[in-house]
Amino acid sequence: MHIMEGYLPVKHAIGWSIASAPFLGLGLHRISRWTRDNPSGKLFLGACAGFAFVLSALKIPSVTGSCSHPTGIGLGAVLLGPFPMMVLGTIVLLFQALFLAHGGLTTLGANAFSMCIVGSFLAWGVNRTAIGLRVPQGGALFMAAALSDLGTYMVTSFQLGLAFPSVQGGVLASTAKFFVIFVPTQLPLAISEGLLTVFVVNLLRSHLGNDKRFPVLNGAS
Amino acid sequence: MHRIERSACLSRMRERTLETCVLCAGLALCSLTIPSPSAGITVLLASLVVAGCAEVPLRDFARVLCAASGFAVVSLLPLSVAVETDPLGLAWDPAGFQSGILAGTRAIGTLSATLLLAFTTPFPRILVLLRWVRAPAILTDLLALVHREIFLLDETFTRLAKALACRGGGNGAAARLRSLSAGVAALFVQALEHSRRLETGLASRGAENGEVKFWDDEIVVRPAALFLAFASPAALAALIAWERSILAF
Repeated sequence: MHIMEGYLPVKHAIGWSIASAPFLGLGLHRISRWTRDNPSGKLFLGACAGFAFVLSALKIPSVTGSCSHPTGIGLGAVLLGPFPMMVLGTIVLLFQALFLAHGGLTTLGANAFSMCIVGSFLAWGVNRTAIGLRVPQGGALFMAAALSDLGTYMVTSFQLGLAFPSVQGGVLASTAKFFVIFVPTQLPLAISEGLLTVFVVNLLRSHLGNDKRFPVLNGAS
Repeated sequence: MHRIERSACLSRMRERTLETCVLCAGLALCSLTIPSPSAGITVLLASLVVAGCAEVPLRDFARVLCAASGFAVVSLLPLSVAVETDPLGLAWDPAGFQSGILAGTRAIGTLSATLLLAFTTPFPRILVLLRWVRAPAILTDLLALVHREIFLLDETFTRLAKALACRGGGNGAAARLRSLSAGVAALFVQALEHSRRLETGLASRGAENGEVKFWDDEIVVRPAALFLAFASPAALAALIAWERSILAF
């Protein structure tokens, strides 16, 4: 789901980095303010980001028979909120680029925009909306994680479509082409990550049900 | 991950953080900005030569590079076909194929420059450089903490996964998903427990208000080496331009 290092033309790489910067700046500002009030907050966020990195390096069984890896953004955005997850997700992307050669430093802005910014807000928004509509929490979590994955993938398709427009049909045709070609792998991945998120939150509820840092585990939205 | 870290710690360029960063950025810029497939290939060759000089295990370097380059090969397919509406279908697109080749070689060249940085510079040294350029303290603190956590948590998860597999958690897709979920949940709980222990440890050593102190080194600016780091990518860009003029004939 990440765009490879150097794959985007330099103007696009810079443009997506500029687009991501205000969101990440806001996220950093919020984290900074929060850690000032909560002395142990930095260590807690470090542990959460480390967890997200290990989670993103795992293989999950996919319906098509292949394997894929979860992004962890849906789970993180539901547990911690979208702003911390935007920053933590970007840090995870940075480590993936350096230690796993997955994604890249020049495409960090584009990948952060699709996965950390759009993915986090989508997961958090879908979960809140679904809880508001009285959808059972398992269903809300499944939708949040799965739609966050699909939203990330749609934005990635748009980014690639914008960088490589078709001769006939332009950006839209190219975006549709990328979307259609990768659906067979991404749709099962979204379903698998949705199921994984529901299972993990159910298990976490039994371990951390009384932890005030995670209101979602107490049944709150 | 462990191999990259080990290679970086043993590399001959491990103490030359500033120069390595400038060199890798220059190489990446060459590959990104020169619109020719030869740029990516030349940058790849240059990265391999520098990696060899820095005593990086070339087999590990090539293995990581090949695995990551798979994306460039796979992406050639959607770029090489065009969707036709009348009649509806797919058709070969020579311009798209050319564009795919250019993007693929550009990606491989830039990737080799990034891998050169990862294989030659230990991450704590990159953090020192970030502090030197006055990056926000909250960002560098978080990066340092995450760098410590990922190796610990990776080992913890490997142990957990092995234990779950030994109890029959890997038989069938449903069992694997259930087993993986149990592992992930346990890992999250352990990560939180570890952060609590770290907090206690820091507090007992006198750290106040969550302040995290790390051993800090200083960046030494060596003008000659820095000039070489700037000049090498510039010379490479000139070489690529010369190659292109020869090929034009």
